[in-house]
Amino acid sequence: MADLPKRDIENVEFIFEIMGSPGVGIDAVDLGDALRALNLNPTLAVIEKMGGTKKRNEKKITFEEFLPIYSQVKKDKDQGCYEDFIECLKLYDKAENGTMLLAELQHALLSLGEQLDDEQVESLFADCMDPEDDDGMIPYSQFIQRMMSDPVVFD
Amino acid sequence: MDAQCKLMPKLKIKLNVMGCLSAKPKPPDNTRTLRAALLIQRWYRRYRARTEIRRRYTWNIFTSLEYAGENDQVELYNFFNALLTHIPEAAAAHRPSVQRDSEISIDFNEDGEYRSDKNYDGPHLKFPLIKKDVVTLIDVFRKKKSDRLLAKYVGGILKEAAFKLKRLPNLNQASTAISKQITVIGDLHGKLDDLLVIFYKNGLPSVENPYIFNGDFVDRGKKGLEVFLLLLACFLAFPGAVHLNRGNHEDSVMNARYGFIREVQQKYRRNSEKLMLMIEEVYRWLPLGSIVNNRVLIVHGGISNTTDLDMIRSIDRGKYVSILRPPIEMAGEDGIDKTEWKQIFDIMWSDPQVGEGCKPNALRGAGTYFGPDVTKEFLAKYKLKFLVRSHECKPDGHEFTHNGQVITIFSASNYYAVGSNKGAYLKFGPQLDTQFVQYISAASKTSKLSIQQRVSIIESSALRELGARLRARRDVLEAEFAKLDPKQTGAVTVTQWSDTMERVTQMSLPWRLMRSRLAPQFTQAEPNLVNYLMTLELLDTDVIVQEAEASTSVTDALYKNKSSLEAIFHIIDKDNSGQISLEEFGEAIDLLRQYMPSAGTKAELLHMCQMMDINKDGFVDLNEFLEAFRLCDQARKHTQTSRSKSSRQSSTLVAELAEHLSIQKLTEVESDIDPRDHVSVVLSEKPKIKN
Repeated sequence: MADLPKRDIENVEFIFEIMGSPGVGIDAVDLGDALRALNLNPTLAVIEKMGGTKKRNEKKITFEEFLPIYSQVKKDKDQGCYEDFIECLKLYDKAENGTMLLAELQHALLSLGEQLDDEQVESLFADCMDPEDDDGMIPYSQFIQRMMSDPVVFD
Repeated sequence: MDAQCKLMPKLKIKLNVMGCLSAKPKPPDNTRTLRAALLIQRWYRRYRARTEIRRRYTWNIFTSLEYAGENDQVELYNFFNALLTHIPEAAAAHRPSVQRDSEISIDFNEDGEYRSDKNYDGPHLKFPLIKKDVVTLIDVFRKKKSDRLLAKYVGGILKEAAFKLKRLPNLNQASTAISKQITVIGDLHGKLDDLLVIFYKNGLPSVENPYIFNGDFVDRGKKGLEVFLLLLACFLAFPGAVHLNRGNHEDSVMNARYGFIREVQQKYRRNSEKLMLMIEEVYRWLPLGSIVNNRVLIVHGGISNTTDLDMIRSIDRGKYVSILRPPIEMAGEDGIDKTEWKQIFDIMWSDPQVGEGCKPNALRGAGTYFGPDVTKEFLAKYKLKFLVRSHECKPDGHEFTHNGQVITIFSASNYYAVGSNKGAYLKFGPQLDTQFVQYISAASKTSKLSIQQRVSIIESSALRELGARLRARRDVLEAEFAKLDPKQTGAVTVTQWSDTMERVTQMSLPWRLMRSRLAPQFTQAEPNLVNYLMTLELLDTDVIVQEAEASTSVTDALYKNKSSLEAIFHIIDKDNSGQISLEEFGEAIDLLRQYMPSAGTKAELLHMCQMMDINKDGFVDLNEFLEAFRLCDQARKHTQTSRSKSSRQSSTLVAELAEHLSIQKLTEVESDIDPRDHVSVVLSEKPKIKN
């Protein structure tokens, strides 16, 4: 891929080393995780469109097949930033004091959009959320900051 | 977004009215809510994926460190091998100075071995051991404040066990005919808590509940001696119900490096040498593998394309006190049969690979990588259904490979660091159907932590270990960096930094990814440059120095393994005069440097020989030889400590990096082991077959 910087290609090589088998590539079920590991943020719909599968051992994606997918997804600028989050979560901020009802957020994540399952919501809250106060409220700006903090720094 | 913003005031009113009335939360606006949910869900998945990557590369660091360490050990073996090949006369003339006395007396010096301020109130053992003794031992071993078992009882168990093991064939024959089931346990590596969880969940061994323990009982973990003694006690107390296989760590050369010898020395200061001799007696008589129902072969490492079960059955396994140190004692009589030796090496050290074929295991330096075709042919030849092996740590404690024909079972949970992996044991039913029980012991330590925290702890543990290995090569690193920076600017490019690190450590790791943990950028303006001086400074900080001191290098291991040193001495001393001349030593150095390039330049090593000649008579005798290694060891430690003192004023940036490596260190407060403190799950279906 002529348009991908050398650094990007090296990063893809590294991800393939960790997630894939030599000569074979990665399992298509891991396509989403591979893209996310490379700093992209596609929705499940996009991942499926790009060839991701829902079950293991159905399809493999080689390094050469992956590069154009990466290139394409990278072009999508709508990644969402801190301000977008705050905008959306203000909806839940009835008192306009930077806190929201935890239960409402939980409900939304479990039943709307590209739903998370119970385990994922639990671990998300355990990792990023302060415990709710007596009224069931939590401060959401810290929540967003923590979730967006990068566990992995690529050069 | 703008159109929606205008809607906001209306929405707010709506919310205020509705919100207080209903107990059940209702989403205020569908589109906005949907968008919010989608955004958070996307970001959460990304967060999870990147944490997973971090966990995986940390895993890579640990396994690389482990195998690189083993590789060093095997270099020692290769050195011995080379010496023997090139100096065959020495091998023939050699007579061991250490008499292997099979009638080692169990007179031990018990003074001061246990608390001197009160009398011994531990158990008194009588032989033959029975179930009650095993229960007593478990209770004594698991408590922090127990008196140490008297050395004479430790010796008693070892001696009895060696005696009984000697009668067994090379391959244990096991069967589910009576018991209708059998349990296979993988590497334990001194993790007494895991062994107690297993006995707690699965019961003590008996004729109805037989066990096979597949090697690697000691090293790395802190309770190797307790695990080893408990297994031997079970072997003695439950005849026929406990089968023990030898692993590559049931070897004093490995024990010198990986901590078991140090553990024995710490626990039995006055009697450690004698006890190690008795432990070696047990090692040499441990069977090499087990066969269940004539259908399943269980060995510690694996196989190769030359593995021959008939040859293995006929070997005199007692010759191989250490698998890494050639049985020179026998050299004069039968000569060293390398084919035979390779058979043993292969079953103890090999690993399965994805690709077909069979090639030498370069990562570990010993044994082979064997492919699915090798497995298929082997199992067909001997009419076997499975090959069960251990030797490799797996995140889930177990793994199927080679189309379900090879099962890896690893029973030490939290092996690399707390929370790093689960352990597992394997249960075969009467038709050899498989069931796995997966567990993590001391679960309370990690259960309250978030995933991010757990991964952070494991990651900083890996980086600390890596730091220790880097520190051992600090001089080389400094020299290599200096070559790339002739103008002494203090900076090299990221690529140069990564390449140098990889070259010096010989570890293929994601260096670019780890750069931020090991070296800050040179300046904000030049993100492509790395301040390598700070990398070196980081290696001198307390956190790394402590880690390095806790680990041992090849020379450390050499020194601590006195019998190895003696063996080397006798080989170099070609004319058997009891002394080595500078000339003889020179020849040996050439060989040594081929196999251990990190040992130093020829000039340095010759100088070492001259230094060894303490009485300056032009010759080095055995005592001077041993003393020299001890002095070298001390000198090396001294330079390291003095260097660390001088860089106490390390810059804030380096201090920050060091802080990050040590913050996550979980204080290991030793407490009584409670086997109930675990989480476990039983897996009945066949796990997904990984190839």
